[in-house]
Amino acid sequence: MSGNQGLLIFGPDGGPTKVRNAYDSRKPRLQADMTRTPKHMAILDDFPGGTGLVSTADGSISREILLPIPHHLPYTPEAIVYFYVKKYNGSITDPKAGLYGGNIILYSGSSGTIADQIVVEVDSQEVRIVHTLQDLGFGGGYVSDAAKYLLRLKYYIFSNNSHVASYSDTAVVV
Amino acid sequence: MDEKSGLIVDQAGVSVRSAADYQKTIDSRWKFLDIAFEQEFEMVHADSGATHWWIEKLLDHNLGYLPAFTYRQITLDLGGLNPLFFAPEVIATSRSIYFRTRYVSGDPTTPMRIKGFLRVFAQDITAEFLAPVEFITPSTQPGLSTVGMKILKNQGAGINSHEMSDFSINTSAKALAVHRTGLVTTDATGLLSINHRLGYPPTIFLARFIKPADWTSVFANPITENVVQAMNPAAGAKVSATTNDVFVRGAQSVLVGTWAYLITKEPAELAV
Repeated sequence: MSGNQGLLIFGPDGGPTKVRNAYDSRKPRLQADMTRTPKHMAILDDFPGGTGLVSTADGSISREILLPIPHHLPYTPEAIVYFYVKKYNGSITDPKAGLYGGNIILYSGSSGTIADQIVVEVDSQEVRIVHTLQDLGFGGGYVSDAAKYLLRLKYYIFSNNSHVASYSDTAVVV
Repeated sequence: MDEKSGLIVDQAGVSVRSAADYQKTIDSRWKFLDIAFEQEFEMVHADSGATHWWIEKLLDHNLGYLPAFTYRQITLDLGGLNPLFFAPEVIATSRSIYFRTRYVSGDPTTPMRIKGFLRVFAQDITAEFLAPVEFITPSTQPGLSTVGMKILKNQGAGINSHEMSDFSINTSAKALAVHRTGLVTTDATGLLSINHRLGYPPTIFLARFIKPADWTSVFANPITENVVQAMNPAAGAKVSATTNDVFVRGAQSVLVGTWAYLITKEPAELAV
């Protein structure tokens, strides 16, 4: 199909010459394949937040892979994971519970000297949910409270090439 | 077009009559998150010695509005710049996309080289837009079906391809529909509040909106237009929600300023 062929559907105020049609088959989209195994879009309930990683020294990074998801795509895909804190220390009313966010959850001890978080790593083989503990000057001995977190997460693995070998989004809105 | 005409195509295995809004693959009453274009770029910047921020144009998108877009860094050679001083921003005006960061005193004259990838969506993320809400609760779940619809994106792939990126539409895939976009400013406590009227906690993307007056002193730059940064799924923020409102706070620092938002019809945590 060339750039001049396709399916156009006009919007309520649209027409064939409008910049914005309700649907234009010439434009690609972010799309998650619902036929894949493992699933490229799924909700994982009662997902454990990790274990009590202990920082060893300034500058140290400890990590544990909580879930690898092989994607079987021929490139490093775009992926988004929304994390929802279902319970903290068994409580749904704790202020740390009932919150969600995309691609990163900062755990309660995170500060200027500790980065204790759940992140998403993506490469050409898999999407990984990873718990990391980074010592940024605490001096070692910090114990993560990740085990108190019970999560629900929803992930999307899009059949869209990210054009990078691997990535892990860092906190943007902090 | 009145409400009696149009086209609705649901995900494979979902009944048209009972599909939730987010189970549609096409619904001509609202927008989907179409990609206007995507491309790699390479930028070389040799300026040095200044303490001011600088900008470098990456490309013209000529869309005429502030688009939702994403950015990924492919390679980076700082040219000797201390990484601690590397604070990159990719920003869009209504016509172009720029790279913005700073050199500080003592920088080497070795040029900085950066290669990246931009995906620009055909969506004004700052425009006040609210799609109608029809069905929020699905009565059927997507499943295997022998009935569906596929539209290829280009001639190179076959209709039986199993690679969804070959298709503009494939009812075996989930595409994100745009429910609401607009601008919102934090209140005195650093809280962003958005009323979305969806009936369930939604997925959300945020992009910082910056007016020329927001950049002052050494942070000033030649752009005299409003800009937006690349959008992200509220990464690192604390998001809470009721069925019809979503609230965003900073996790470690107070959120400030004005933000463009894009809320999709996709639930953040409910069954699909």
